[in-house]
Amino acid sequence: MWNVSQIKKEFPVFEKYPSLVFLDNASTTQKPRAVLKAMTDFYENDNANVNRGVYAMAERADAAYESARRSCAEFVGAEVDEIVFVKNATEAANLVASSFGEKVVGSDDGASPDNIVVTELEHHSNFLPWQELASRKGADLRIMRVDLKTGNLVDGSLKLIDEKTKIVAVTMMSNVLGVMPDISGIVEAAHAVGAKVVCDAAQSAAHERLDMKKLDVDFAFVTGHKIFGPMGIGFLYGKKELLEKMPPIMTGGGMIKDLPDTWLDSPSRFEAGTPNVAGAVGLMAAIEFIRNVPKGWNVHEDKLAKIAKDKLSGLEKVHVFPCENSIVSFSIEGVHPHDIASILADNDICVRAGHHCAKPLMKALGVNATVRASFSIYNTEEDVDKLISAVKEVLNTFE
Amino acid sequence: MDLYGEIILDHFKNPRNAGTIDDADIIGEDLNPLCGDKVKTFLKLDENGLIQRFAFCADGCAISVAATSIIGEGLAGLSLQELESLENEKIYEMIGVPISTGRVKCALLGISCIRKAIKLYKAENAEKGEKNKG
Repeated sequence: MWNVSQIKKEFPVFEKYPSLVFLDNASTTQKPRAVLKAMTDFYENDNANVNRGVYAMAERADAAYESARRSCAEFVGAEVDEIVFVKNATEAANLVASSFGEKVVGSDDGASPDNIVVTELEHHSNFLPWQELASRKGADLRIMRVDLKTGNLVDGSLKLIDEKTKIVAVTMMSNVLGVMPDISGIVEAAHAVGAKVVCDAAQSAAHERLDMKKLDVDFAFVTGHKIFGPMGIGFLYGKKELLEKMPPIMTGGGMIKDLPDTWLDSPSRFEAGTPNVAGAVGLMAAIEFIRNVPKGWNVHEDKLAKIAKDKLSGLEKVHVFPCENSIVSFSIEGVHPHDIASILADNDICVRAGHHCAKPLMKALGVNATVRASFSIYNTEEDVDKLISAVKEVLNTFE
Repeated sequence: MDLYGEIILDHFKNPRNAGTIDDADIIGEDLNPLCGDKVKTFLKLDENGLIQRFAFCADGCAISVAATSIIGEGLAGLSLQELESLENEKIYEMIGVPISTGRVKCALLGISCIRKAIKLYKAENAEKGEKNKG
């Protein structure tokens, strides 16, 4: 049995705001006490820069930073040197595009240009770096379309992948619709033509256990703040043989072996400057927290989202987009999403209204914006009831 | 006070000065980057350069539409300078409901559009003036 009240106790925010209904989890999750404590402990006891000192505190900082890397590696079934710390998902995607992408995507030689395949489901973080790379290189940007009935990719999308495809960038879970594209099919099609797969795992990491070896994707990235960790820290997973051949995109402190340009091995090569050590320590605590959460947490989230979806669908003038898993996107006829969100906010309900940094998908859905309620481990059926009753208030207000 | 009080809802449902002005002197267009809302504003000046008529069309939320409608009601007779010097605080006063920081962009979408258009109009006129001098 899923014990929400016990889980909720781990999150100080609900002590401070007992009536808070936090349904903006796809944007960022709340932080458990263990994460906050780990970060405070680091700054109180072990604060020193990494890779430089021989005194005890510096050694402890080094050890903490590298333990955090090991923890991330174990979390996604990777080797420790396949984990590069970054500040967020956007930085990870840009790193792959600017380093790996810049090398492998060729320019248009006049015959048939290389192409990069992305999907309409992508968050801008896994869309714009590829759009810009394609534009720099004169390559084609091919977009897998969304089936408006299911919210998932249309059948036959894999046909866009051909022998001129160099990179396929795909989300594991849409931040707007919650749908999860068939990654294994995409990986198989991409690898059959020698293309590499870059996977946005920002949403999926909070939703299911990841196993990079099993998925066989070439790159994937996770951001800490969506899995109960701090903001400003995340990691890029890359297959070792690929990372080893990639040039740095930032140069400076902590990434060089010798002048003028003999770089350190990966991952240090990609981590120029003082890293976010406290963030990494917080992320490690978040991963430990998530690993200790009883199995079935995603079943709980999905169940709540399903109840919300069913109840919202039953209301006149409310349109629910084709959603799956823990995310519900909806709109109300004649009422702007921002107005809906404001009235929900007056009822202590936090949701997101807007384009969710997914303009290609908004365009496909034919809207400027949606309201998104996204569920996490600390949400309850009571939260769903409050959401529904506040949506009814919106309907009455704009009657 | 309720954000969605009677006045805001009334202006949202029946925006004053909704539409376009074919022979407008100053036309502006703006976008709210948060949600893609759009607004287009039109100003017609009289022979003394004072605002004679205002019109707008908007595809936006209740706050942005109602705010533009309310602000628009008080524009006739103002000089461009008077309009430009309207402080945001004064705008919030006109709207009459508390605007949270998250909704500031919505509340100011219409007036920002007008301000930008006036700036552009003045710059173009100054350029024309320079050319005529030359």
